[in-house]
Amino acid sequence: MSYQVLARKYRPRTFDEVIGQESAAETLRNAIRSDRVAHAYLFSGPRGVGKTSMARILAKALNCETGPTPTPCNECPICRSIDTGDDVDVVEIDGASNNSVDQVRQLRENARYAPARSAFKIYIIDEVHMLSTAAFNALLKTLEEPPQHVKFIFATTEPHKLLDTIKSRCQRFDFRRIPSSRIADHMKMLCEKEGINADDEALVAVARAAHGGMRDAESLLDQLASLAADTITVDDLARLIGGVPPQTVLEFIEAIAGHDAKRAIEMIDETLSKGAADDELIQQLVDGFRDLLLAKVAGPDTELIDRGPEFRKQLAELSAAFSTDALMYLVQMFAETKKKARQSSQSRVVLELAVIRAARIHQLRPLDELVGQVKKLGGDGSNRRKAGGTAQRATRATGPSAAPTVAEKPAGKGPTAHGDVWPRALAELEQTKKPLAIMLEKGACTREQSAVESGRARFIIELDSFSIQQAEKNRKLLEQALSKAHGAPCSVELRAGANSSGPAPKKEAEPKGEHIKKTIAMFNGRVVHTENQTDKESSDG
Amino acid sequence: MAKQRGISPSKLRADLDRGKIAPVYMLAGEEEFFVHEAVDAIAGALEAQGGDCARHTYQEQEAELATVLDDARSFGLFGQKQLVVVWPANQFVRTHSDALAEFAQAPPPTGHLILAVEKADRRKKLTKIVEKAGALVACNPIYQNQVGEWIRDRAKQIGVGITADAAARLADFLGTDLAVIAAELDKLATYIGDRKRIEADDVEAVSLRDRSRIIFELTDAIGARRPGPMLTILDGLLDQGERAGGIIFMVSRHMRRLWTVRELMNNGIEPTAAARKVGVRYFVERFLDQARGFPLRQLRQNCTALAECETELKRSAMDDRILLETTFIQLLPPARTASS
Repeated sequence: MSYQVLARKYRPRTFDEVIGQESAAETLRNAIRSDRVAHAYLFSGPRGVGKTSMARILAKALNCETGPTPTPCNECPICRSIDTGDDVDVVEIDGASNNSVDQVRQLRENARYAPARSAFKIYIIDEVHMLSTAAFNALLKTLEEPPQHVKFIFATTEPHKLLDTIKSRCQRFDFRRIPSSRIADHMKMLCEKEGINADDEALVAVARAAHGGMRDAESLLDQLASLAADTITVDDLARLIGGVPPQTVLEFIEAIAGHDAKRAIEMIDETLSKGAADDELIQQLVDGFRDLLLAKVAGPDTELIDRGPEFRKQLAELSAAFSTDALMYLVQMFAETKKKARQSSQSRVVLELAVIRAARIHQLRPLDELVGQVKKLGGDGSNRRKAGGTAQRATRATGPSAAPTVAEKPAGKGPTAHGDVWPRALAELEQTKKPLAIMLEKGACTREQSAVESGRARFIIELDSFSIQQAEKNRKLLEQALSKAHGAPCSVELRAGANSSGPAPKKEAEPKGEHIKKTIAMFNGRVVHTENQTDKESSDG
Repeated sequence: MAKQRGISPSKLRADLDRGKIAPVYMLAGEEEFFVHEAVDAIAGALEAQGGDCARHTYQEQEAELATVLDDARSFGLFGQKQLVVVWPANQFVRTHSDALAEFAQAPPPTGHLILAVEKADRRKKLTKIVEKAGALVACNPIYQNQVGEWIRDRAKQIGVGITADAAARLADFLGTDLAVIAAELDKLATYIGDRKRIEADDVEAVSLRDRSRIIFELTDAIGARRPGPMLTILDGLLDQGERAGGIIFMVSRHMRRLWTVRELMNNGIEPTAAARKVGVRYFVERFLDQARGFPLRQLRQNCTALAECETELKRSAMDDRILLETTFIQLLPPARTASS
């Protein structure tokens, strides 16, 4: 008998054998037991998680010679022919290649006739989202009033592309990605049955590489079984897909957390010389830092991290060494590095530079802090606001100057860094007196380093003359907000800012024309710059 | 859309259960699920009286008066009953009002006619005759605050119990889409097997969630600074094949609405009126709670971050999942993330 690949040989044949979709399997079993089988089902979810297998099992359960039964025999001619995909009453259609309205009309015609030898005529339409709109509409009427002997099972990876009218006529099950631990357990069972020797660590790595899809995991295992000399190891996987063991990723992160660029560079050399591909190493670093970020913001036990308990424990320890902002920066930086490495003929150099940059992240300073310093040197409030507005973009897209520091200052312990105080105070004020907060947004706040008034920090707020009057009336509120934001008592000195004390600000251009006035009123805008269109056109011309 | 008057779908069901079947029905309203249910219930009641029932269904574009009335007046070969359904029948009713009124005044013994319209004018002769000779059934959509009760009734109808918690959760997951709720109730009733009652955990385990509600949950999680649930919801959306651009679009739209409402409220507009101005009709209180939960500054920053993310999606080769996750973490006010 010719060799059959593992994915086909071990394709689930009963509801019990479907891994990771227990609630769907249980519902379908009960539906058959209690004779509550719907006339149309929709199975949606990522590829390789068991949608088509479940559809075939359901078809067998309904049409088995011993059935309808939740446990099809898998021995009768009907079960066997469904397994091989050539049963006369179970029609498997690939929606991607049979998507025209004529083909659906043909299906509709055939559906009227009774099944040849089974209880039901069952149509399994895979990738049903690929049907054209006209084809969907042609199907609608049959779905609405299907003959008693017809059942439809649709499978799709993209359910949102289906018409609502189709979805509402089906009983829908969302299939989920299978956790790596369950894939690894299944791989282990397969190895025992097939007499394949494999390291546990290698099986876990295979499971992770499959990203929740059992079929991909089985295909990988198949390839590894042919490749490995005796026992499948992580190194074999690295040779096959250029993968990197999880422990190596953790060591990389440790080196970066310890600002040890030298060690990180050496590790690149070691890892690549073992056969790992540089783009796979970068991907693993992206995944590693992503896991670290998730552990940081959602806790190490979050189900979003698809790793074992030991790895999670180490993640939890390592996450303390980085701030959330730093981790976001690192994830995005390595993701960008992946793109650059792909485009470059010197991909290794690109990787090394990224690793060095990551190891030097502690030398980088928060944008707020830099903005605060610029202001002390004479910058005004409007500049500060502009810089603050672009902070998020800077963190993501730019290099060192925008990146945050490694460790965050713990909140609630002593005064906060000055750069944060003014925005926090404004946010605080917004809760109590919003109009005041909005007005003060135009102002600039600096801390007077030398001044200490009876143990209080002193902040100088520069405002225009009108705002000063209003702020003066609310001085107590302002001081309270600042104290809360600063984490220690503060006092406030209100000063006329550059705009009010200096030369008169340039008068805003008076809008000309009714339509311009209306536009300004509609968007609550102002004239920033006026350009004479006629002049421009003539100069262009 | 004005609320339609007439007997309720449950009253129709009760009448049919008592064997009271009228020769002509007008189903008025926009809730298609009730129309479906009413047609099925009338057909079922006719069959329950014994003998077959031939069903003819026409859409108004293809329905010709002569054919419709011929079908309704004809006798089946074996004396079976004739059920003729015209759905939708808005224009059909307007055009053939007199002929239909004539039919309704003297219906044949074995023929039954159902006209499904969005709006029935009770001042019209046809409607008056239908009300007298048959029944006008109001198929109005239900409000969110009625969904829980509807779910409990429906569960009873299909022979299972449901706890108040489970009904509330299901209503929360699926909104007012009765067809989807009914399908999910069927699924849940099957899932629980021999158990008599659907519990909240069952709903969590197998029920779907409406897409727009997921976005609401997502922004709820952002507003409540709950990164775990936020990322889990995002993960689920991406796993179900939702495109990153689509997610960004929906969250951005929601954030923009929150921002606009906050600005309107700051300008002295009453909160409910502000919500109405941005098109929020349902879950107004919950929406306003969300709006209040974000500082105004945060809303502005979030809209900017989402716009930048959208640009990056088109421009960058960065993995969509990574880009969305890091952007969404930015939407959380930093002071309340798990790290601080």
